[in-house]
Amino acid sequence: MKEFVDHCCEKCTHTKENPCKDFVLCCLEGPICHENESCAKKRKAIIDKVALNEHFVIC
Amino acid sequence: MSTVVETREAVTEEIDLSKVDSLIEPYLGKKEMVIPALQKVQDHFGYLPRPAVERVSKQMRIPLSRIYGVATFYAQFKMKPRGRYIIRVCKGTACHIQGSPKIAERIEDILSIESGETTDDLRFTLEEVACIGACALAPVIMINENPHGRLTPDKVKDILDSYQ
Amino acid sequence: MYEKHLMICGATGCLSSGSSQVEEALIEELEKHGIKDKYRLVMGGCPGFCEVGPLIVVYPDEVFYSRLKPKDMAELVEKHLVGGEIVERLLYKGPDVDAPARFYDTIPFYAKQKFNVLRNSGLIDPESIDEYIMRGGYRAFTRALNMDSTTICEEVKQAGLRGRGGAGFSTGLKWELTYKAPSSKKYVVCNADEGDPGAFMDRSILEGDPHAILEGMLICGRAIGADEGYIYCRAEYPLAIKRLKTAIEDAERYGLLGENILGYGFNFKMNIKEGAGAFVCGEETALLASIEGKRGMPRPRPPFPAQSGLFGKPTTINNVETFANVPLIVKEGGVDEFVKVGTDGSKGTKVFALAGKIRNTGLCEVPMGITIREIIYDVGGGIKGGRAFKAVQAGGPSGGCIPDELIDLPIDYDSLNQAGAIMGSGGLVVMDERTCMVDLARYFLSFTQKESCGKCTPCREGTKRMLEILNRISEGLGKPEDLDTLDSLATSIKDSSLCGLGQTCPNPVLSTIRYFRNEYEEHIEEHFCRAGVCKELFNYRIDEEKCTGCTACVKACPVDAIKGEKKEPHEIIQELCTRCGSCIEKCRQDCIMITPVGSEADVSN
Repeated sequence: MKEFVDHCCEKCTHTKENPCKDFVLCCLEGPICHENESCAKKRKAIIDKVALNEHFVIC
Repeated sequence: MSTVVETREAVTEEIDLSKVDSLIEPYLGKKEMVIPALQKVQDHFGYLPRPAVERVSKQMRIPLSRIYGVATFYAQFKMKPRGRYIIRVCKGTACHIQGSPKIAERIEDILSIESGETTDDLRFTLEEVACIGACALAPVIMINENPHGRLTPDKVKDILDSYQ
Repeated sequence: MYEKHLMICGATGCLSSGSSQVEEALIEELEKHGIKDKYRLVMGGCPGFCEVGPLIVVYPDEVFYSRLKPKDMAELVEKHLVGGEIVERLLYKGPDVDAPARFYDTIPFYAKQKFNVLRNSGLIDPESIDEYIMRGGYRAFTRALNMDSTTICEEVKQAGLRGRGGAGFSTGLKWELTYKAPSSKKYVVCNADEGDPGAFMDRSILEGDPHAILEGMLICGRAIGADEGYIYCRAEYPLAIKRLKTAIEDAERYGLLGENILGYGFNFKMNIKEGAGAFVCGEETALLASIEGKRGMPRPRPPFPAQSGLFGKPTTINNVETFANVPLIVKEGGVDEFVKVGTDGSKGTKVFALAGKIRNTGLCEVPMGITIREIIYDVGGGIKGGRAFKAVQAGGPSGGCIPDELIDLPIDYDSLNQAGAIMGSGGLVVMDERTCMVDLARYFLSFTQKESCGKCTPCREGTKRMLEILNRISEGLGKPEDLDTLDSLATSIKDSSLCGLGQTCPNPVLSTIRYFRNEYEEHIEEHFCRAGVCKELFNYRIDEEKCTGCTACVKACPVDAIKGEKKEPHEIIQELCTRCGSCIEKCRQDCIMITPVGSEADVSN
């Protein structure tokens, strides 16, 4: 997962042709449709890479 | 007068109408896209040569008078060839009160042209712009893409000399 | 993971001061130490403080380095990045701080600011949609997708958001009118044709946070039932256009623009139109004509664009800053937060471009209701060179000047209108005693006169006549009845022009006459321009008592009009002097005076 639009695992199906209603929320708080620690970590890795400080992310 | 005609003919010969066709191809059949089409043509030639505008009129099926009506309305479109270096004197409020008219005057004196004109050797074209948004550096001029800020009239000559 | 992030201001102001060269030098230094991969460099949006650019802010430490030069980079890398020690020498210093200010929030320029619209500018990489999402982006839009049109319009109305482009019309009401107009096709248009000379706040938002504008437009589209949007942007803003294009591509790729967005059955297509250089296209009906490929001329209203706009369809037009405010309002709990800032009639913040004879030139975002004094002295750091404050021009060529005696006026739509100025797009140009108010009025009028599209005769011809009179006054040929003539012409133009340009263009003349009548009279009756601007109406003269004979002015004079030996008092040869003012800029003894033509009296301070 290099950016939020990439799928964390095969359970994520969001594409522009087949969109998911929870996509935006899922970027920061996901995965929402399933539970998986490694999928959550993938998202956090994207955030940690660019977050300037603890106030940076706004949920 | 004869030189003007010669210049125009000389320029006419260089206009590659097939290039015009390819530039405006995406806009055919979309009359509302005449401004982007003219912008593309000007990006390529540096100005709007008459034969190119005639071609746009024919291909886009818009009367030539209408196209000229649009082209002459907007300051961006130029009907004459321009110099290698475009000097843009910022006439924004901040520049004005920090003395941009005195800078413009000095440039006009040195180059013996007025705003909107081009030197005979096609080296410089002098233009005014409303604001280039570098107010902290007022007064500012841009020569092509290079800004020169915090100017005083005595600095102008050296700057112009550095563009040959 | 990066050890640190270095945000380099890549906006026009800093680029002009040389920020790309600073970036190159920084990369070179990092490579020399072999540590380039540990640091993230972002050439991003504008932190606003153009005066002390080029700027770099180092995160997470939040250290603000200013006035950087390429040769400073070796020290910055070695000492701060490798050694972990702040480079004092490169911190912000100014008369308003006791010691070099280490952190962003200890610099007085930022102390009274409140970042709503500029919330992401300079903090995120404007070309990264992920970073926009991390800052809470597209959440308000997702929420709007779950709401019906009426509720969205209602929230925007409750928030009291007024158009940031000039007139201050209620945004929610505008949306509601477009929503109620029956049509299967509607448009959202973003006016990014920021043409006021001296104003560059919209560009800063476009360059620093393009997704905020897309999100605002999407929410508007959802509210009014539109499926297509246009952003009409000045061609003079190439960087803004590039960033918008990237933002649109990314939003399409993410499924946030296009067909059936996020599965809600909502479609939206976004287009960019480049303007072609016509100030009048900032006027909404002229702008629409320009998008349609016509001459950008305004038309009578009604019908308003909300009923019949682009291609004859109902259209909502808002400016950049208005749209950038929208996601803050429509987000969860947004209305309550939004109304906490501002005054009763003017909610939220306003971005201003501070320029002119002020120490801290740049962009600032302040709560509505802040006084002019606070902006000039606290945010702006006071007048450059310690001269006396004379007036501030608010609202550009459509606005008016606010004199010294109204310095405690709170800045909101209604107070400014009462004072004869307008909020306009947010340009604030500060003037000191060396600014001539007649010349200022003449400057603005010559601008609007050139930009008048010519459709309404009073605007086309009347501004020309007014300009002739002002030209005469500044050449010393004014007549006593001129001021009355100006007043009557101005009134006719205001009353009988179709669009905002004509209706407001006499304002600078009217307000300078209102507050600086004596200055006009001095020009007309005594043929004297005290500010030393109108060239026919003053001489420069060297005070022999004060002159130390340093020859600075002799060297500065481009026409050799100053004679004098070293350590001897100099003298200006009036016949040769072109009154360019180079000498007065260079004189360190303050001994060059502005005197009436043919008089020996010392009237300078």
